[in-house]
Amino acid sequence: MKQSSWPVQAGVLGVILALAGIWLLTPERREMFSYSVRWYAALIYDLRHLGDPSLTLLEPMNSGDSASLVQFRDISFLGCDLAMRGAKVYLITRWRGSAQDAQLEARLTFWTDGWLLATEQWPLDPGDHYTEVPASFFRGRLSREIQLMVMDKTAGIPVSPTSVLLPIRDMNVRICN
Amino acid sequence: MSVLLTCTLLIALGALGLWSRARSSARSLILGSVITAIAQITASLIALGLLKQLNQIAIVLTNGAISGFLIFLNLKPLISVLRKGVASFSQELRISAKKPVTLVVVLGALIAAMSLMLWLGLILPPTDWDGLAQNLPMAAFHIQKGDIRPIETPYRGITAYPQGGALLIAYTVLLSGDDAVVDLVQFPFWLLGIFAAFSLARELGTGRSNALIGALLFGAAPVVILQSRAAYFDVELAALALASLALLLDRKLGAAPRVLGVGIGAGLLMGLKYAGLIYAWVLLALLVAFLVAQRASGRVLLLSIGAHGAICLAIGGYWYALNLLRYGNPFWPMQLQIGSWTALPGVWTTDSFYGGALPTGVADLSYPMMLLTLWREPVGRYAVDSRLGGLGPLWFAFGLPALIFFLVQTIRKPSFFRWSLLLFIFGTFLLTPANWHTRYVLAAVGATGVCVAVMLESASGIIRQILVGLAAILSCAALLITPAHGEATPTDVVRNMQLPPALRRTTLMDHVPAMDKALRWSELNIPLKSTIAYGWGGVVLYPLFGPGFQNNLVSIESVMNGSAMKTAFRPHYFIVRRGSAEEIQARENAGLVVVFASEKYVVFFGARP
Repeated sequence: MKQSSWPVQAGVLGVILALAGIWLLTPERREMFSYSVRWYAALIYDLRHLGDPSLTLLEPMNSGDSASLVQFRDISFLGCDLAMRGAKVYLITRWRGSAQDAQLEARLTFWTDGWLLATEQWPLDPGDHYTEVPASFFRGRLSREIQLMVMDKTAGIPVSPTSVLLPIRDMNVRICN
Repeated sequence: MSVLLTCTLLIALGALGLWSRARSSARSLILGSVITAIAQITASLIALGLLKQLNQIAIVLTNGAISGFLIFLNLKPLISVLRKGVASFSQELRISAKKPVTLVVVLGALIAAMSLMLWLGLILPPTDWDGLAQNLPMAAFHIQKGDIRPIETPYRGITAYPQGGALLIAYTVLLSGDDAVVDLVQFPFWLLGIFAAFSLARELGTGRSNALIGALLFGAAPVVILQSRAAYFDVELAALALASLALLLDRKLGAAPRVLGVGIGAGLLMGLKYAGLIYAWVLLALLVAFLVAQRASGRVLLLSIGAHGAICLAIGGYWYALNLLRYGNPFWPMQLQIGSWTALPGVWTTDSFYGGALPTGVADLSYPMMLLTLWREPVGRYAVDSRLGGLGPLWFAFGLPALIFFLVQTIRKPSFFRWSLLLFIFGTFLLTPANWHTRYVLAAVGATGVCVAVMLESASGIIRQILVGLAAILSCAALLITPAHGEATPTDVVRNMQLPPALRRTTLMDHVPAMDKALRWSELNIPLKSTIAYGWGGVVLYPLFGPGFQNNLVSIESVMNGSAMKTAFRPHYFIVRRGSAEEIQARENAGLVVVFASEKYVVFFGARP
């Protein structure tokens, strides 16, 4: 390809240098560069400290926006959320009510590919209850399921309406009656 | 994922087999094969959609049969091309290793940026507005119904816009079995666009280094980098347009593959977006000009135009035909207004659609000043749909001078190739509505990269070294700065990396601007296989489909007029925008109970599934 004359080349260079200077000297450029530098620095720092529990911290949402989904006597079930602390994933079940019902207890069971993995049972209190999700739960290939039941402690039977949380293949909690 | 990769490889091999019969350069062989492979995917999904067979087995069987047949038919030339390809690739690697340091550095930055974007695309869920509200729901609705019939929704974009891009998303979802890679559908087009611009520059006689730096006008544009992991269609459109142009201007290419390649490219462009029509027409004009310049006979000319039109309509015409039948306007909801005469009635004109879309402080400027201000990028952070910038420093510093340089050179020493390139750049740019919006003009920007390569090639000595060095620095800056500018913080990235893949969908839902905590609540609490009625007025739909698209979405409008009642059943949940007419209506309905309310949305519970 034929080369341009020196004056043309110099002119082109001058214009390009001027435009590059204008772009670089735009006031927002400092923010653009510093944001990227901070982002990469934070990413590198975080990757070097993978074991730090704060890096897997998944905060649950504020429960204030939720309303009752299912009523079990005086206690309402508000739904579920997720949290993560360290390498552990927690399923949060949310309850609201005037006071603890001594007769009621909740039972959560984790199933994978039709096999029972774990069960947790606790007296039903208003507030958020954290249940650790077994690590092997996520290895289920065919199905994953979490069931929630509210039991009458003395009668030993489920309280009507029975709530069954049905995550399908992704552990996301589903409510199904 | 293995099904997706295997099927795509098979389709690519079949297309390569077809193109191995054509007389073409190695670059056109690759570009033609890629365009043909994408066309095969799109056309097969349209055909299967019409037969109501949009499912994994049907896609694999159909494309397997077509590609197997093509490979069998072209086995000898295909093997020969693959052998030559391996040999020339290793030769290219040896040559590249001896290249100047600047080129090695630029290539390194490009590979680093691509690797980072690919990784982010794999571990982060979709977070961008158009993808969540429109492009992904289109794909999800078609996958759910197994067909490509118009989607019943008040969202005009979802129901009437061309949906070729959505079919490519549907292809990845159906074949991979989940939505983990939906944000990476545009990623291969980033590579395609760079390669097409590189091919155009090489065709004009520029060296490898300058051609690559020129191609980075497209490849290092921040909006391209960010869109490489966003379910938008702008990078696809630009890359396909550049690839079609490169095929059109390949001097070695035979007449038939040229018409076939450009026709396929134009058809794909038509099917992607309405703006694709602009490219289809410009490409047709250039094809006709090429044939006239070649002194083709009238018969050849007519046959070529006919073939081009037929291929275009076969691949991209379906969506326009539907609109013509339903609304009497192929471009509905766009209204075609010529002066005071309404040629095709619609809902909005491009002027009214983009009215008020310009950022404040820019709208009052004259048009040239407005463009210069936007291209100077007075913005601290880039986004996939940046309005204040997005084309990067290489465009601002090199693009405009190179364009003027190339124009002057072309006037002084005209050639068909040079005029065609300029016509493509100016034609597509000027015909594009709201061309101040940087993501709409990426093809013109990519083509201008050829002008940059020519300008660098025309320089010599120390000036050339300074220019190449500066271009390399600006490219590297854009390539390395931009990937950090997404919605996710480093902690989000590291957390998602460690989370089980099944949990990644929800992690950003409550704190990115396009979404809201009501969507996270819905994802976690609405039982699968529920019917969810959504209100008109900006409800982001994609998260509501559920992780495997198990939920059935109907619009409240269709519930009210009864059509959803006939086809589905009573909605279990209603989600509406806060303050909307639907919210007022729902609150007056005694059968609906509020179960979640955020600042943006209210979720009502209607009946148990």
